[in-house]
Amino acid sequence: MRTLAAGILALALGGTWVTAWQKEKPAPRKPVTHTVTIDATSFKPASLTVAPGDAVVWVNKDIIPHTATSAKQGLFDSGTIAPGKSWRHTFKSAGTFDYVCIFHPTMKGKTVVKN
Amino acid sequence: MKLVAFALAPLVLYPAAAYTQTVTDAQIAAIVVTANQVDIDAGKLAASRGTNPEVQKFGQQMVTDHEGVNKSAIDLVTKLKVTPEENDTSKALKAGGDKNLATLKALSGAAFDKAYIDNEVTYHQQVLDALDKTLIPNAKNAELKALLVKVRPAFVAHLEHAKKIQASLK
Repeated sequence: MRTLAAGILALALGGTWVTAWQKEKPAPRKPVTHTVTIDATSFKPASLTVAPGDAVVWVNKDIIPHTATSAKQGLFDSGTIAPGKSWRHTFKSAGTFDYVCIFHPTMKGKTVVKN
Repeated sequence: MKLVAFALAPLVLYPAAAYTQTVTDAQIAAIVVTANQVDIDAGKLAASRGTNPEVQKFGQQMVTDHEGVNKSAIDLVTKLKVTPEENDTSKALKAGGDKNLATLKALSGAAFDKAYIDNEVTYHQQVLDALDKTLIPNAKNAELKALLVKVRPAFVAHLEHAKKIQASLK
């Protein structure tokens, strides 16, 4: 009986502790969508800081096609973004991601992903 | 006008007759449309006749970009009810473009690639000079001036891109 009571007490305390721990843990952050405007053959802003899980949408407001292509090959590549069109990419893990427009070597941008 | 003729003179070797008028928005419109069309025509030829894949791709991109610029320019001057007015500079640009096409059509292989890219470097440098010294400073309509300012960085990118290809062909 004594053992059972101790077991119940332990469970209750343990349960309380777990509940308290769960309450202290921050609620999962809702992913945010950021915008990079492409205009006058440039990315604005040229550098953007986001959290893991956030998305970036590149909106081409220029009069000619552009791309947002990872400088490190194969990470991400929008392909051609025609004038008036946009492209979305979700950054899952932390890091610094440099990108370019493959058509216009003067166009450089950066997404910094960190918590 | 004097400055436009001066800036473009190395490209077209145009005689001193060009040094007389003032540059109006209607004339700027004609210069812009002609300058783009000249590079569209050369780009089409490079896309089909070029040998190096980078040269072909660059030619195709020039067609796409300069058609984009011309569409915006024509839309704007139509909205502003400005009729592009032919002038000595636009005529000289056209003559220079025709001469370049004739030269290129006589070439093939690596010689074509080199001649096309060399001309693209010169052409974009001269158009940038004209934009900075004449077209942007003289544009009276704010929207026309804004369009010229907006497209300028694309010409800078084209020049840099052409120079990279030029260096790789050597």
